Amino acid sequence: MSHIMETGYRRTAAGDLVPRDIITSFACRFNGEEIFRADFFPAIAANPFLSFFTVVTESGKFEFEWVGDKGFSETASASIIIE
Amino acid sequence: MTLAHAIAFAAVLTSLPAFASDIPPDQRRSGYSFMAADTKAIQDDDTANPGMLWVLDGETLWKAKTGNGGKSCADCHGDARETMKGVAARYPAFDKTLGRAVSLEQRINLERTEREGAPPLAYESRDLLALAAFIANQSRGMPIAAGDDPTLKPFVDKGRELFQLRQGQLNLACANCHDDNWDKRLAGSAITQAHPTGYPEYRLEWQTLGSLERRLRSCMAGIRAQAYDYGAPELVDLELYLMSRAAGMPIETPAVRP
Repeated sequence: MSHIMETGYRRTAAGDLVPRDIITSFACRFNGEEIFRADFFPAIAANPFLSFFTVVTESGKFEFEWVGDKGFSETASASIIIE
Repeated sequence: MTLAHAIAFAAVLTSLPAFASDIPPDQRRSGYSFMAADTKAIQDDDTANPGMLWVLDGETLWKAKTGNGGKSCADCHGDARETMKGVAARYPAFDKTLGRAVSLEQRINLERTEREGAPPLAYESRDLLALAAFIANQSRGMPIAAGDDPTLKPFVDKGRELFQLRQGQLNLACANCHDDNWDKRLAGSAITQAHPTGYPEYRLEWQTLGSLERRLRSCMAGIRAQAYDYGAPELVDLELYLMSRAAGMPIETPAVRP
């Protein structure tokens, strides 16, 4: 997910605080059931990289959701088929 | 010192080239080969390579209509996967109207202002880097061919001159590190051979994507010289020389570097 990830700690040349604008949470659901969630704060990393494992026993759909400051929200999905 | 010694010494002195020589072709390497396995792994996996975020953004921008003309890059150039293949491998390229070499970023801005009626994008802005990364990514794996154009020869030569020009408070030329000492380390970091194979590239130090000009400017700050402005002909000539130096090496954009 591409995002500006502004920490909220930086100041402009005039000394004004640049407001925080980061992704604050990520969740992954499989067939509607939440299987992974992470909350983010400034100072975790400029560009956090997440990797996680899950075991699926049936075909279905992964849904990914990113939520952030200033009303940011993005989703993505991926299907998996168990034969 | 015996006479024989003195002659031997003089012979050694005279056999030293004026500038401690170019790197032999068979020893030329991409900066990639200097990296630790972990960093290589980030670059090699597109889902882990943060530079791919800019490439994806660039693809969106490629198709986005902009400016007075209401045109997108794709309206004229179509599918970048076809039309932009190999283009970045030839940049900086000669521009007839300007009569000098222009970088890929400058070409993007020229197209924006002249054909799209859109304002130029600021150097190092996210959008300009994204477009450059997307375009250069279409040449990934293709051999660098910049500087082949004979009209560019004077600009390559100028770039080479600048590469060998001592400047700044430390009175160092690029060549003092990147030709003479590339097999050594500066503090903990490998000194590489100055082959710009993967720009724009994601530097872990920057925590973001950046252009070759940004890299050159930070080297200049490092030798305490006054850095050329973004887009200055000197920087573009340097870029051109460095690309011609890396001729034949595959494009890696978006590369990851420490």
